[in-house]
Amino acid sequence: MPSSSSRRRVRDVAAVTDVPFVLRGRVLDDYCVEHTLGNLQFRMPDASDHLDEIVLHSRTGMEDLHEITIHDIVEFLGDLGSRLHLATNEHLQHAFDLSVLASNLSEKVLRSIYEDRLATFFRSDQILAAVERRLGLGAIEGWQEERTADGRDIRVRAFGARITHVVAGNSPGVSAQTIVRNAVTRGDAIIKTPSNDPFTAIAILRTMVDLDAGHPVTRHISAVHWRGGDATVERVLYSAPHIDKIVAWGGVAGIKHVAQFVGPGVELISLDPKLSISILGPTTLTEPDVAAEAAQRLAMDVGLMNQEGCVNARVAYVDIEGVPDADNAVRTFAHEVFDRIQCLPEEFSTPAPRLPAGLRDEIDVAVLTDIPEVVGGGTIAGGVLITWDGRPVDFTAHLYARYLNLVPVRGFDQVLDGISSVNQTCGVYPSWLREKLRDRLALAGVQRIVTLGGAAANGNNQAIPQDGVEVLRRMCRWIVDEGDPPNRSMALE
Amino acid sequence: MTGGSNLFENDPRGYFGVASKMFAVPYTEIQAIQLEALQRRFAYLHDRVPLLGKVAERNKVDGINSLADGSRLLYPSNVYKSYAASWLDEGNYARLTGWLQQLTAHDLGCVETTGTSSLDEWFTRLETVTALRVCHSSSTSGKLSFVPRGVDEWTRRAATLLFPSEAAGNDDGPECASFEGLPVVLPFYRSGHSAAVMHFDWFIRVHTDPAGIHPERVLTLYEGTLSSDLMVLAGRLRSGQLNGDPRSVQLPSHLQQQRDRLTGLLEGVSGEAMAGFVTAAAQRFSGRRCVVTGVWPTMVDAAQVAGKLGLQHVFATDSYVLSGGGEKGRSLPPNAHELVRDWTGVEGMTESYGMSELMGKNARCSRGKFHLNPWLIPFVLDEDSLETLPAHGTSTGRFAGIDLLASSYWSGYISTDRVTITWDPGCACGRNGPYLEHSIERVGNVDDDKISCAATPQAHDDAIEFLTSQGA
Repeated sequence: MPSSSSRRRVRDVAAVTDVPFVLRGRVLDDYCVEHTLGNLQFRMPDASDHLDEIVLHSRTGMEDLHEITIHDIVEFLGDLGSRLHLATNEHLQHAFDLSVLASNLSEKVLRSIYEDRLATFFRSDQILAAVERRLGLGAIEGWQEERTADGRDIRVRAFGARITHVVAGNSPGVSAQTIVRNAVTRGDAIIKTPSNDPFTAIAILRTMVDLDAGHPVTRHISAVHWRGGDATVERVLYSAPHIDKIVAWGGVAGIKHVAQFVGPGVELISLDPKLSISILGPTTLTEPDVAAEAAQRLAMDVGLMNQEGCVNARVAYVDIEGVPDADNAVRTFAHEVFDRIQCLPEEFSTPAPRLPAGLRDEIDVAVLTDIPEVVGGGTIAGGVLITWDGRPVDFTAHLYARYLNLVPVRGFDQVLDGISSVNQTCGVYPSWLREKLRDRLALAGVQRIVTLGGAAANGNNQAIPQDGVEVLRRMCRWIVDEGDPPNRSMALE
Repeated sequence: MTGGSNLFENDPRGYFGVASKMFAVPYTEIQAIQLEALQRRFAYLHDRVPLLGKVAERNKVDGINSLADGSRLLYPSNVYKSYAASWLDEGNYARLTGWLQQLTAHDLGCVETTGTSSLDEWFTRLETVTALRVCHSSSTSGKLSFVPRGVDEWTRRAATLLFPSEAAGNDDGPECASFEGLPVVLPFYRSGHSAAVMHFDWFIRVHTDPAGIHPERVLTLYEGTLSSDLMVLAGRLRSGQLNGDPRSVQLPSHLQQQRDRLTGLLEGVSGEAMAGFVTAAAQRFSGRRCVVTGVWPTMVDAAQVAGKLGLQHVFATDSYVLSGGGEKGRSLPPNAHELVRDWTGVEGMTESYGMSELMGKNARCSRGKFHLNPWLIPFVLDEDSLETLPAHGTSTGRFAGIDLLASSYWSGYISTDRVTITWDPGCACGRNGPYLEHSIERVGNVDDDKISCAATPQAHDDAIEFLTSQGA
């Protein structure tokens, strides 16, 4: 497929860019496989030539990681972060130049991420807070003593695991987050770089190598690329005894594929594809001040990061119970949301360079049929699609490029019936409604409930659970040490 | 209902005679008669098909002066499924009828939808009071497309099916093919509204048994009807996968048997039913000249079962073997063609390219190229901009076309196929006119190596996958 990444042995090496692998502190530059991604061509090493170096054959090889303190690790990450700024980092500059050609994010949004936001993932204070809250310093730093209810004297320690990370490429932050997660859990990571972001993880790891190639954190992380489905590579990098776990981000086909390799000795941590929603209470359409603020907040949930993230709202339900002239009120609100999307700062949100083909087809026909009603003209600027039958459009998975489906409903009972675990984040407005609905939303499947406007704007989410999963905890191996209990019967004697 | 009196668009068989004559006409002449026919179709349908009026208004087309004007009158690929799936779930057939009226010149005002409880019943009601004979796609994207074809169009289309079986250019074959009265051996359903079943049904109505008095000429794997409601349930299973637990969708008991049959067709039929079918075919038609036709995977299933039963070279060697449609997600044996040849005893098989939305089978020539029938005005569009690419040389892009056989609905349509078309020079097979390379793939296919944490469209039809994986 011309639009997809493909690999072939290089014949003509003149016109393509080179992108190395980073293996355990070593930059690998034997470029021999050419990949194409849209109009972009680049060469990389061949993962199948280096399988023996990529894997850590024995977990005992992670001893060095467990001999340094978490503060050493966090400090190292902080130093790394201080170097992750586009203006001064040649590796990021190279990655940015290539990513602009490969990413779904517009250049302005991508630039703002590379300029400063990537570095925020490495802030020492935030990382330490995440470790304290999600893991607890005691067990990550050493053997944490506990006394069980029956009086047993035990110690628990979180050890690192050998993990292959199949990461998402819709935002460079995913690569940054993965690198941090691996370091603080003292893991040994193999990052499979995604074809929609093959460069970010490599650039960060090259910076890490420049900083200290011999640091234990550097020596226990690699970033490599191979075409998904390459059996030669995946037989090794997805399987026991070479690894302990797989962290696999979204894509139904991708998760199903990876799941084939899961068996005794390998645990799958699946971060499924998600579709986030919003719920707007009845005052949204009756009180102009509330409407204005709700429109601004909803625009942020839809438009930040150009709606590329799983946190971005794609469907918004608005309660019209008791709203006079509800149709007009809904249309007015839809126009306001559309206008607010257009006013988002361009470093966070811009019109898409082009609409994805599937979405464009849907929009083109909707403009003709008014099913759904299109607000905003159906252009690359984004839009609001109103469905009047109380149900989302049939093509919610196509909603990208700042297109929101606005669904007027009478009360939220039917909405709650339709919610499932695919609905990750739910932005609710006003805030009191969030508190009222949160238990029902959680039971229905939602994993993160925020006040509207916070879905994508509340900062990076390192220190909170993801998709209902304590990812950091699951990345560790929780080991127990126990001696003799005080009053054990020696029946065996 | 016709859009004009010209024989070209209303009866290509009558106009051209045989394929050798049709493909001998210089393409510039074809384009001239295409333009006249296009003008007639547009003039007739503009005020009768509401959606065409909207497209024309939006793109500011008030008349046709060139074929290029036609490229501004193309429906998006999903036009035939632009209804809301919830209408079917809720049994809102009045709304569905209203939607269909936007697409057709047939007056649907007389269609009574009150009390309609299923899609199959809705079709019956439409057909009772109108000449519409709607067909639908086989749910390859989780939602059925409804193409509003009428009796005239099905009849016209069936007559053109002879062309791909005839000699043309330098390619050998019968000068004038005829399926008249030949028995039909069809390892599929006898009736239904999926595009494939409708194709076979109208083939039989036009060629095999026009008077409807020779049912003995037709042997099908299943005598019954392939329920369209079953296909809708397949679509709901897919959306269930996205919105919740697909296994919570329960099939109504009356569809269980259908489901099992469909599962068999999708996963491969090798059991008792197929053994009975190939045995009956041999008993009834051995040594006779027949039309052996069906979707390709099921043809291969039939051939495999026949082989195990020792039923080889069953039919006369000058029988017609007509098939196509690809592997439909199945992995077929590498010697599939040989298996079918050994079963039927027929050396050559007619292959062609076509789709539910544009009528006609475009024949594959001896050089492996698909030659476009002259009643199809082809366009190839840039995949990003959807601008029409120049009609000369060779270009690759998204295939679109206007099907001049369509007289009761507007047929301008942007497909989801990525094709490579050569306008000139002509094909070495000697046929005039543009042709497509054999490698045709779907545009915008989801790249499974691009990973996002947000939900993305499915590349494949999980509906079918889930349908087939459900236990009885």
